[in-house]
Amino acid sequence: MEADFRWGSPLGVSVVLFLVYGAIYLLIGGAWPLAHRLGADRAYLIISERTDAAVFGPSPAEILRTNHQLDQLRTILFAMMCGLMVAAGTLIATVAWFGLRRGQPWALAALVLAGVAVLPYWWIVFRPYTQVGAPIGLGDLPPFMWVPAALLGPAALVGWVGLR
Amino acid sequence: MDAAFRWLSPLGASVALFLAWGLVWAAGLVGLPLLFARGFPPWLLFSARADAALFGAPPDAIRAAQPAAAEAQWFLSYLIGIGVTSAGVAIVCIAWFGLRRGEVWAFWSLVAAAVPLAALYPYAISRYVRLGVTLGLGDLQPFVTIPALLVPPAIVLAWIGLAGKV
Repeated sequence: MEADFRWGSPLGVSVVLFLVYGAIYLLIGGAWPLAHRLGADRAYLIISERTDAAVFGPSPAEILRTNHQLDQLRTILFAMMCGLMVAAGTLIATVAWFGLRRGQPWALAALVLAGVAVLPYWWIVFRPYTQVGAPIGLGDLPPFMWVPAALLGPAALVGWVGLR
Repeated sequence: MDAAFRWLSPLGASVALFLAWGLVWAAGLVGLPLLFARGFPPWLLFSARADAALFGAPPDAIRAAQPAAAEAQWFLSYLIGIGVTSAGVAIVCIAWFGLRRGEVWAFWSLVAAAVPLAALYPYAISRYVRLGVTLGLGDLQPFVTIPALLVPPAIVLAWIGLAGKV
């Protein structure tokens, strides 16, 4: 560990927050194959059982049971997405650990850019749900959607303070 | 630039290949919204031809008959775009600030990021192959084919360039 690095400092807190950010991606992306094998991912179609039922009508489990094409499409897309989440989580965690922990300004810039760049996507993906009045609360969203977004601002701010 | 670094060395070529991978993925930030700007692309996953063979109907017909399939394609494509863009930015930074300086952690980080891709692409492709659908390079999306072509030589060149360190 770097001699002047302290976990209780603003930089240390920032490193922890970015590590959690990466770990969320890693854990959820890495756990999906098991969840899929156990059938635990069939309670929802895309976001959550409640929200998906409000948009599509029948329960997600019923839609998937009666619609093999959708089931197949969704499974392959989820597999690709979760693999990419594992890759992104690995990269975020290593930049936080090997770059930001050593006080490298480029690491903070990279982590903030990687998080901020995708924020418009979240607005785009939820627009159809909000347009039809589907209720989306924090409880409806998987943690990988809202936890990194919630951590990004504080992590960036304390990281900036820590690097000054 | 680091004094010992040369582009025309194994490490330099490796950095260039990793940078290309990262830039292609980071370009997804604008590429994906453009792709969906005029409705859906002609495919569901890979290409209209291969998808029609896998799903038993042309992508347009499936989307028309099953709104949930259209929604799943749209929503999950954007979630994939989020992963691709975030990873692309990180890959560029790790290649430039880490690997270019000969940092071993940067090498292992990039290798670790490639591992889940080496598992998931064959998984997705196997769904087609099992049904006897042949997939050519033209059937696959650039965000799949370009890393698949660039990353293996990038890893080998970095290994050579970092000889004695990894």
